[in-house]
Amino acid sequence: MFYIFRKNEKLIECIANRAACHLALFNFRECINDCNEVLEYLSKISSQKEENENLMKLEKRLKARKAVALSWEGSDESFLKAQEIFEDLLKSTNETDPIFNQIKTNYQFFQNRISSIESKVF
Amino acid sequence: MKKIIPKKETQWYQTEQSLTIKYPVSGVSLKKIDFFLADSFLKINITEKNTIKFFDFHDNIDYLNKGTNFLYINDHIEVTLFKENPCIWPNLLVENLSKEQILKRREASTERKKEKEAEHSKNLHDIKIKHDRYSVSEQMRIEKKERDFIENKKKEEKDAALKDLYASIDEDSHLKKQTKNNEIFNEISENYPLEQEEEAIEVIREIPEPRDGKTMQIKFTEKVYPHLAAREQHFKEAPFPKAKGSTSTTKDGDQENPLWLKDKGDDFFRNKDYYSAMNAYNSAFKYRFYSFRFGFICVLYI
Repeated sequence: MFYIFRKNEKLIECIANRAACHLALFNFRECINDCNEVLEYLSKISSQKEENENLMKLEKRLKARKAVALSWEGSDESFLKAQEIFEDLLKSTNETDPIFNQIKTNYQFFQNRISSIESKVF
Repeated sequence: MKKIIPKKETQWYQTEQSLTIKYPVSGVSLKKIDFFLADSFLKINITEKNTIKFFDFHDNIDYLNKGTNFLYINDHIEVTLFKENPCIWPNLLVENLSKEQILKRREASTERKKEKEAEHSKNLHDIKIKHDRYSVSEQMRIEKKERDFIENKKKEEKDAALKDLYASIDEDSHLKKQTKNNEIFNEISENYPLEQEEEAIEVIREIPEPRDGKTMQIKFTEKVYPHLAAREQHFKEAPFPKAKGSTSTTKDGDQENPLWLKDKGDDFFRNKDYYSAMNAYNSAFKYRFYSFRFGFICVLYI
């Protein structure tokens, strides 16, 4: 079973990378669907997740990817969801992690967009 | 304010030398109107409306003048003409003449026009030769300065070369010894003469070293679809990754191994080739069931 689990782990990374491909090609809906698939699978394996550090990093990376895709999708609900995800991520990660910088830059882009929209409306 | 509406009649006005006529016509273009000008009359022929209009003038007109103009503005034909004898006419058209007389008058003026044209066509050939000769002579006059300048330069160089030649030959027609004419050396030796008999040192100029070679970096523009050649700009489906030496009939393990396909997909992703990366990941996911069972069987045997 351990051998098979390792294979499954690689297949999960396939879907995660495919989500990044969709993001680069601006297919936001399909990116979100792929991210949700992997996050569902990871939520089921909660016990084995704590042993493996790679899976923890994967989860954070995927959440950041999902938030970016949600912010660009266009509807109001997705925009507010993206803000929630960003705030949760920033609280849970340490500053020493290398992922922290990436999340922070994405969040700054997100905030710049809010300020530009507000300046146009008002 | 009253509206100003243009009248729809033939109008005309004159000066001592010129004459203008306005004739109302609607719905025609200038190209399709035919004008015939002669000494004593003007004929306007409009084919679309099957109308012909004659103007028989009071006095003769200079029909070869360059100022005659035909225009079509605001549903009017405007004609500007020049008179032969400058005077003011009381009337535009001739009066007190019968039809036969008018017809005779027209025929006479057409005959005169034909004779003139025949004469002109005879002399065309001679006139052309005259113009060509004149233009060639003008061109020569303009270019004379430059040609003289070049010839003078050639002369000067020739004289200078001959001078050097004759200076190097003695009276007995033997070649002289050529002394090295170093201007700087001569100046120095005049001001600072040598105390002892020392050999003079020539001034050697330092020759600089050749330049170092540099490597040029060629930057290519980014491709729109990276899995296609640069000359193809339209979208084509990306190929599925194939192992080397494999054809469509053989089924290698690599081509259906999800791990190998995933590595291929990662390589494509790093080179920013997203279309073919997606194909690799999709095919890896498709074959996972097969490998799932394969792995399970391996574990059992181990």
